[in-house]
Amino acid sequence: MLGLFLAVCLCGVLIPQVSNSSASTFASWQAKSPYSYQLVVLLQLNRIFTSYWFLLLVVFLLLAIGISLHGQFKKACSAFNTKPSGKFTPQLTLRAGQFPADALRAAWAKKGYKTEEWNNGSALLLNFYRNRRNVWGSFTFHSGILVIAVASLLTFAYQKQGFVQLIEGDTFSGREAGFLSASKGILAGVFEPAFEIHLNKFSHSYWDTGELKEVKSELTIDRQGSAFQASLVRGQSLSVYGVDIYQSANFGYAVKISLLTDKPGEEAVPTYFSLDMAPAGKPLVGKSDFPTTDYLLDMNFFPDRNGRSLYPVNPFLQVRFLTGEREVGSAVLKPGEEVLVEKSRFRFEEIRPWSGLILTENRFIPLVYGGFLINALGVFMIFLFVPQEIYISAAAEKDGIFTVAVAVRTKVGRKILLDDTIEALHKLLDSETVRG
Amino acid sequence: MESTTLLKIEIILHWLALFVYIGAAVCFVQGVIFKKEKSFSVGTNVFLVGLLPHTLALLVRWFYVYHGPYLSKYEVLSSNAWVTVVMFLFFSHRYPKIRFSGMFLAPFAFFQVAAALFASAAIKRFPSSFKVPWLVAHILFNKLAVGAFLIAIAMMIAYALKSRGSKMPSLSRLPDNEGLDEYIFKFTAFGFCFWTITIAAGAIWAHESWGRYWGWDAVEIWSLITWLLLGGYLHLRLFFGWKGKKGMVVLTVCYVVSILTIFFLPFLVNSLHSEYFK
Repeated sequence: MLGLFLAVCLCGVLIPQVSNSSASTFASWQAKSPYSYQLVVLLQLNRIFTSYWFLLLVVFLLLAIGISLHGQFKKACSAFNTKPSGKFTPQLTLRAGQFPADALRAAWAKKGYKTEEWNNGSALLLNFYRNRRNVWGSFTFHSGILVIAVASLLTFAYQKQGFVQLIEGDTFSGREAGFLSASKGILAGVFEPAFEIHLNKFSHSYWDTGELKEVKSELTIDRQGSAFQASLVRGQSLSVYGVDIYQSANFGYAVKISLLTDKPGEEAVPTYFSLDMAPAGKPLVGKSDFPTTDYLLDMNFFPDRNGRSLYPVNPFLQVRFLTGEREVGSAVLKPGEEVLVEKSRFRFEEIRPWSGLILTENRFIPLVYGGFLINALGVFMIFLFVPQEIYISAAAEKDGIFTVAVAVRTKVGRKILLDDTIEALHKLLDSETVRG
Repeated sequence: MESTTLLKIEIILHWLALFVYIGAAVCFVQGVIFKKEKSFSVGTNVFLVGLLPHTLALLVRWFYVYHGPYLSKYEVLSSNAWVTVVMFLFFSHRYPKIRFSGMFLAPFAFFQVAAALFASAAIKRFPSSFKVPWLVAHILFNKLAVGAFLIAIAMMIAYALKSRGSKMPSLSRLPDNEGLDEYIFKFTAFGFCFWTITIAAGAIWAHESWGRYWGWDAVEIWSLITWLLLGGYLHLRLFFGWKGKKGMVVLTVCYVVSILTIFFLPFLVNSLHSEYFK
């Protein structure tokens, strides 16, 4: 099962996936090799990690882990309740001129071992042990994986996420229709946060290297008349009435263009065009229909005529008016300037920044975090707090020499533990190895 | 002091560390060729001396770029080398028997510092609000895992030479193959523990930062593949007794993938992570 999961992951990185490849990649693939492309689409290999067969595989993995956990639980319970009998098979025998039991007890106590001992008159058996009761590591580790996998499936089914493009001064209604885009789990209902978001102010700042330093939205959250203000920066979410709000890395400027009318009593038709931020010196670009007209506007917006600043210090808009493929007009406008295209007059009114907000609702996140915690705890229990037992028995011979039998029990590093034990014994007992 | 002056100082310190690490490697090699055991302890001490300028270089950079050494190829490689050397010195103090693996580890250290020096030392920055404890945990545990993996790989080389019947006298001072196999297993398990935390902390950080804890990003998938492979090896070793050569073959595959994931993929693939490695 593990191997199969591994193979699927490998396919996921070797075959281009919808989530991380551009549409043109798939278009050129389809053009080059239509049959292989069709096969990939049919088998959902271009979106492996959200395919039904992958989900089925995760369910099988869950079942396999569940069955394994049942066995591990029984095994751990029995190991937990087992009391040491004092029986062991010697792995090495030493001959020593002395057997200072107290010094041995002190030496291993210093290393953090506890001691248990048996004395049957002719021989003394010392049992040094640590982490003996730590038999739950494997069970804990696999339980963590089970919890993570269950939480992931629940997330896949119920998570709601939406992206809001909010111009400074505007309000998001809290309705699903207000999202620019939304993605929801297969069993998730309507995503309508029960509050409105008003963008009071949006700011972006840069390091001296030109890289983004901070993106900040100052918001007013209003829930049925009960409003509060909050600041949102990238990397730090805001949790509001069960919905997490994140500052997106997508932001930019919205240019307001109005279609003017000469008829008395009729108002101008204003439209905001939200353009994505571009690096310094490059224009913010966009192509969009102008509502109520047949015109397609091809825009290049420069925040700074000198190309130095990313803020609108000296802005202008380069715009082409198209009907179909035909250019019917073009202009370079500063805010407040107008252009006549055929019989229509357009005015470049103003510029306002827009901010991207990501809203998510996932009730199962605590379960995911819990799974990570259990999993990490389990892995540490298995490998860093390993149960170790050292058996040392000494029997006095007639000539005053002691025969010392040694054995160690551990799942991780048995040879290392045995070697360390022998080395310590040689120092303490002034002994020699008889047989290994 | 101006950042350009600090950059010069930092680069000089890095070069100094590089030369000292080369000196450490020479000591280890000398120990092998001239059968001088003393050279190994000298090599370890030289390593310790090299750590001083290296630490200073990283601290100087931290001081003027306002973030830890994790945001460019230069910083990532240099800090990886630093953690590897620190871990080697710590563990060779605790388990003196593994000190001889320094002869394979020293080249790892100086190659990483050299590669860092030949990469661009330009300052990269990212949003200050990203600096949260989960990011620190993600990076710290990643580096600890990398250090543990490199020590294990150094011992795997020694294991391979020993099993081929190499006559290198220094190898005779290493634990026998069974002991080496256990050390390799221990360091792999140690690295696996930290790799687990790396993935978990990274997922939590991703969720806190942009609302998703797992995005099947190329680097994420490869780190999961590495985790699964290492998990597979540890299962085989613990529950099916795959010790010795059989286990080593599996582990070699695991480490080839790990090396790809850690050192090459972030620089090659388009991923959220690779933005910070370029």
